[in-house]
Amino acid sequence: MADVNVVKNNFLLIASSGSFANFNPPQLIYYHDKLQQFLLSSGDTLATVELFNLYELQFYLALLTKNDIEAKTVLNKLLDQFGNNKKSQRLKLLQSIYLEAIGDKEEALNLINRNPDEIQLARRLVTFSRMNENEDDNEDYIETLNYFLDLQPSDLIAWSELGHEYSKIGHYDKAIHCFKEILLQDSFIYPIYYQVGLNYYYQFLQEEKNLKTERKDKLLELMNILINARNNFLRAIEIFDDYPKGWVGILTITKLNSFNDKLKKLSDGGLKEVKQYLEQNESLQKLSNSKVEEFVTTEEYGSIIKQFSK
Amino acid sequence: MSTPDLLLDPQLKYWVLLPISFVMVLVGLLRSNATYLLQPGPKLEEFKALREKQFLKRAACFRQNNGVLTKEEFENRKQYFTATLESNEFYAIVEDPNADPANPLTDPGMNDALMNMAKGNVMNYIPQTIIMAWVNYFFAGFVIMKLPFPLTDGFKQMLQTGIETPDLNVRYVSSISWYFVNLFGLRPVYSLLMGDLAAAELMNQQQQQQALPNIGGPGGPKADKLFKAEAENIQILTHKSIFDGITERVLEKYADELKAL
Repeated sequence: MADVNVVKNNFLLIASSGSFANFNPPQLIYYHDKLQQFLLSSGDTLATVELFNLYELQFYLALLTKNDIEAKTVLNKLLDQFGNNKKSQRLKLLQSIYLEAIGDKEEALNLINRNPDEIQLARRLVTFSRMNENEDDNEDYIETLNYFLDLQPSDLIAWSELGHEYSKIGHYDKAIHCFKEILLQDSFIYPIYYQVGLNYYYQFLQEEKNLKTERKDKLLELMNILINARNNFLRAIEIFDDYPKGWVGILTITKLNSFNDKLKKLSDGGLKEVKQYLEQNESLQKLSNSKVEEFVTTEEYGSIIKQFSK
Repeated sequence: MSTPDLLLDPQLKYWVLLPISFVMVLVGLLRSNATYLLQPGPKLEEFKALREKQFLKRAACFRQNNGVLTKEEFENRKQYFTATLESNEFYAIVEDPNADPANPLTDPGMNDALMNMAKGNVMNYIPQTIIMAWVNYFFAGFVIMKLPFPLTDGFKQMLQTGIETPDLNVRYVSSISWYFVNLFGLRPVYSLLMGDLAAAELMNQQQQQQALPNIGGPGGPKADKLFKAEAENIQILTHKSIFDGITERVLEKYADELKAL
């Protein structure tokens, strides 16, 4: 009996946290099969609320593992139980997700009526505006996200999506603003510090490309962008010591040899802050190099460094 | 061996003591189920009210965590928040400053809240009054049991309500007192009978509701007061960035490893 409770609580936790959205395919298949078995063997012993929460999880897992027919069966079970409740956002959400999954996008959109009070469904409308044939054209999506964030100013996932979208079209300052908005609400999410650092780095690359003269103030401006990037990577490392992406980020920034050479000329000219920056870079490069060698596999390094070569 | 003060008819146990306890438990169970049915279903919160709360939360987060910003970002946001908090852009309801203050009793939201409170109270008082009247009517002045352990005189008032015998041993319990003992002492029995699950779930719901401040609800402070207070808090903020000296901090942390390299 104790075992059943442990398994049940595990599934309920997955259902309530939504962590299944981040599962990789083998994990999805594993949990899908296990949940199916569990519901067959112990479904009768569960309390009604728990049972239907698990059905909801089964619906998502079935869709994610391409078992559309099973998903439909589960959805029907839920509709049989709660179908007379026309106001339920949760049911409408499931129905529209199912319709979207089988390719009926129009019907899926129609199902969500545009009542602004139904926040969960409004969020789903935002998702629909992402579906554009041309991936680079995300203007609509950005506009909808902005509109949604005006209604829901502390929806962290929407802020993150908006940040990524701005980053895609090269508005790195706006992207940084969005990611900082997340950090203001939860200041210990280290992957977001990494994102901020990465976007500062992109901003550096963008501005360096447009650099026509090697004027002192321009170079200093670029150096400040790099310092911001480096600081954010360092903060990620401060929170999570063994964060591979953070170390690779620091290593990449400290190894920008051609730019560092330009700075060196300035530092020889007697600029104290540049000299300090270069000295710190040297130590950080040594440190990050050894850290990367210590626990970042070649494969992992390759996939991370790809993000830096934009 | 001393003779007892009173000899109790054993039939009292079967016809008074147990019936009172049984009826109390039964009514308690019925009441809790009825209360559950009377609870209002979850109501859709108006998006404007939610927007107002979320914006206030965002401002409060800025006040607490502004260390993650650089100096420039901090100044920009500080300006934005003080300006926006002082305007009525995010108010759920924009009140006309010249209008007469609304009568709180005609506010439908207020009525709902009052109705819910009244329902809860009615469900508590009506059954209790009926049982008390029943006990008082049929068993007034009954001494129904003798406790198997001695007690001090202080308990006399509690255990012998309704019988006027100043010299009677405190161990004898009157019917109406037994009713009160049941009234206050049956809670563990209920939780045993109903299982703790339902109670735990109710607790959870209550906790979730407290996550955001109750703005504009009955008894809650009005949005404009909260916004103004937050704006003032933000105006006097001083900024200290976590990025100040971060390189030194990290290098110091790994100083030993660096030396070994």
